[in-house]
Amino acid sequence: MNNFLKNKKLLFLSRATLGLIFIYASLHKIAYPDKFAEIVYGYGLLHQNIINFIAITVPFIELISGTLLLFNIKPKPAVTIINGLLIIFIVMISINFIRGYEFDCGCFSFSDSEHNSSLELLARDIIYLGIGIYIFLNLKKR
Amino acid sequence: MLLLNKKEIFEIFIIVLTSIIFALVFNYFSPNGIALLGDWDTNKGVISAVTKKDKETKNKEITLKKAKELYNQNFVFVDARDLNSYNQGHIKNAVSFPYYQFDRFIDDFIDKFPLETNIVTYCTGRECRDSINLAHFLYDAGYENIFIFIDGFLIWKESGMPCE
Repeated sequence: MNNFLKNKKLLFLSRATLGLIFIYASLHKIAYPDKFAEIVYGYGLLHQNIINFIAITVPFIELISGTLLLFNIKPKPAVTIINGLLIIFIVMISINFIRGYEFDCGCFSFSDSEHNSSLELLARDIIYLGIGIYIFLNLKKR
Repeated sequence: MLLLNKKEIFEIFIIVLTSIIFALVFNYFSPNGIALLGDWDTNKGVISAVTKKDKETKNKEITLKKAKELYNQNFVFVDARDLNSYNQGHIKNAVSFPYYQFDRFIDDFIDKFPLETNIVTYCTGRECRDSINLAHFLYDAGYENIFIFIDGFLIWKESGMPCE
C-alpha cells in the first residue's frame, strides 16, 4: 500500500512536471511563431516548404498534449505524443551535434542570453524522455 | 505485444489533428501569425517566416549597391548586432543599437536622432534578422524613413567599403 501510494504520488508529480514543462515551452513559440520558425530553419534538417507549418503546429501539439497530461485526460496518448516529439528533438539535436553544425547568427535563440549548447539541450531532452517513459510504463500497469 | 491499442492510436491521431486545426486557426487570426510558406532562400533575401510586418517592410530591403548610395547621402547606419560584434568591427560611423536591448537604448537613441532621421539598419547578413526586427521596432517608435541593408556587414566589408 505504501509503495502504491509512493508510486501514485511519483506518477502524479511526473505527469504534472512534464505537462507543465510542455505547456510552458509552447507558450512563447505560439506567441512568436516567426522566432520559432527561425530556430527550426537553424537546424538545417527540414525542407524549406515545411518549416513554417512545423513552427505553427508543433507548439499547439505541445500545448494540448501537455494540458491533457497535466489534467490526466487521455494521459497515455498524450504522453506518447510528448515522447514522440522528444525522440524527434533528440535525433535532430544529435545529428547536428555529430556533424558539428551550429547555427549561430544572433537570431537562433529568443534572446541573446538564452542560447543553450547542443549538449545541454540533449541532456535536458533525455531527462524529459526518461520521465515520459516512466509515465508511459506506469500508466500501462494500471 | 503492442504498446498501444487501436483506440489509443486513434486518440493520438485525433489529438494531433485537433492541435493542427487549432494552430492554423490561431495563426490566421494572430497579429504575429506567419505565412504557411516562409522565405528561407538566402538568394532571394533575408530568411523570413513572413509575418504581417515583414510584408509591410519588404520594399524597404536594400542590397549593397543601394546601401552605398545611402551611405554617401549620409543616412545614419544603425548596427543591430550585439555590442561585442559591433566592437569587433562595424561600418564606419555606424551607431550601435543591439536589437535585443531595444527598450534599454531607445530613449537615448531618440534624443540623439529625431524621428525624421534617415536610417539604414544592418546586421551580419541574410541569415540574420536583427536588422529587420530592429527596423520594425523603430517604425513602431515613430521613425518613418528606414531602410534595411540585407547583405549586412560581411558583404560590406568584403566589398572594401569603409569599416572601423
